[in-house]
Parts: sequence; structure tokens; C-alpha cells
Amino acid sequence: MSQHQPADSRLSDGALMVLFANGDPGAARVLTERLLPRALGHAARVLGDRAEAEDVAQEAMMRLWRAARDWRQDGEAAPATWLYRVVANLCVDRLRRRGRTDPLDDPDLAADGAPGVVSQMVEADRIAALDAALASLPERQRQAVVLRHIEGLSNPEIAAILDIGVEAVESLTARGKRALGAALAGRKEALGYDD
Amino acid sequence: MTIERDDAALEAALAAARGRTIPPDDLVARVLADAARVQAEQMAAAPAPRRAGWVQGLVAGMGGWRAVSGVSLAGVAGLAMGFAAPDLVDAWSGGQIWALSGGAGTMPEIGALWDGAWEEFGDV
Repeated sequence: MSQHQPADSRLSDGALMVLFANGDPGAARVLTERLLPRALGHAARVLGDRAEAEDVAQEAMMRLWRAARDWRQDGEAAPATWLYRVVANLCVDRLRRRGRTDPLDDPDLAADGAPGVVSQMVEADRIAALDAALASLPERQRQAVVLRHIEGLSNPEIAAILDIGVEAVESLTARGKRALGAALAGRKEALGYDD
Repeated sequence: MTIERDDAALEAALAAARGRTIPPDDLVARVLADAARVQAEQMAAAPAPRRAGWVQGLVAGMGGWRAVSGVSLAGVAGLAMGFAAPDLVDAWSGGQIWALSGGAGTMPEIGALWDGAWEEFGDV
């Protein structure tokens, strides 16, 4: 007989963290289903390397588990925000260790599960072009653009993740998006937009 | 027009990238294995409830520290009253203390006790 009720998938991430700390065996599964794709997606876009992104996502999730014991629902950031911050910092560490910011051609970064072979190829080309353009951005701009325009987070959330002000986020995302647009302008063919 | 097309191209690329990233099964398995290991460690490290010692048991039997404090206070108050006004205490007892003590009353002569001790053990 289990000592705990299985985790309810309708619970908030914070409540699941508390359940995890109390030994609930189902909480980890629900949190993994919710948060791992986001951690992996962000790391993959910023690092441009799927294998490295998986390492970062696993490490970030490990830190999440370790943080559960002292997690306070009322005082902590949302687990997703906390996790994005850890992923962002781990990515910075990796990029600095690499000593370069050029893109890695990784075909695995193409979107998962796009329907139809042709549309899948077009979408893969678009994503490959975007990844190349993203990799040309300075690290902070890249993080901000990915969080804002791909992960869909709000500016205050991004400010909390990157530990900067909201105005700085607005500036980073605006400059980043302009730079992305400029980098992609010469690749309209790859993106399926012929003049 | 070119700017609009560039924006459209960028938006299309961003939209394509917004697709949910699906973690591979082996990564999910590794993450869940990490979670199980950390959870087991944390549950094992959680402090077990401490067993109460004999002092705690005695105090609990008397009604807790508050009751023990009350008993102590009453004792100290009685002692203080006996020292401060022994005749009054004897009067409250209706002279019983005087009678039972063989005329020694509530306050024995300290000097007499001292002399008695020397007589008992002799000069050293």
C-alpha cells in the first residue's frame, strides 16, 4: 500500500514540489512531463547542440529535485521560472567553456513531429536558419529572444530568470529580434519566402 | 514591403521553433531515475521523531512544564513564608507545629545545630 496519494496532474508546479519533498512517487513524473520539454527546448536553442542540451536539461532537473526539500510555495519563484534560470546559467557556463558562439549544425534540432515530408523539410529548414541566426547573437540577447519569442515568457519572468531589469529585457529582445531579422533576411529562400 | 516580408520570414521561423520539444525516452528515464534517487536520499535523511527521555516523561506525567513551574513556585513561596514569619505559620497551624517539634518551633536554632554536629563528630 502506498503511503501517499498519487500526484494530481491538476496541481500547480509548486504544490507538486512539496508533494515530491514529502515522498510522493507520482510528483516527479508530472513535473518531468511539464518542465523537461521546456528546459530541453531552451537549452537546445541557446546551445545549438542537442546532446549538450540534454545534459543541461538533466542537470537542471537534478537541481530542481534537490531544491524540493527546502521549497516554499509562498516565497519561491515558480518552479518553471526557477528551472529556466538554472538552464540559462548552465548554458552560459557551457558557452563560456566553449569559448565560441558559432552555431553547431545539428539536424536533431529540427521540430519534432511536423506533419508531411515536404512541410517537415520546409519547417526544418526554417528552424535550421533560425538556429544559425540565433547563434550569431550575443549570449544575453539570444537567451532573451528565445525566452520571449520561442518559449513565450513575459518580460517580468525573463527579468527574473536573467536577473536583470524589465527595461533591460525589453532592450535585449528588441535588439535581438532586429538582429535576427537582419540575419534571416538573406535566407528567405531557405525559409520558403521567395521574392 | 521588404521589411514586411522579413518580419513574416522571422515570424514563420519563430513559429516553427515554438513547437513543443519532445524529450527522448532515455532522457526522461534518466531524469526520473535521478528524481527517485534524490527522493530516497531525502526521505532517508529526514530526522526521525525523537524519543522522549525520562525527564520529559516525568514532566509530562506531572502535567507539563507549566505544572512543574507551579509546584516549584508554591514550594519556594512556602519556604520564604516560613523563614520570614515563622510565628505566623505556627499560629496558622493552631500551635501544632510548636507542640510536634517539642518546643523547637518552625525555626530551629542554627547555632544549636552547629554545636550538635561538633558533639556528634568530635574535634578534628
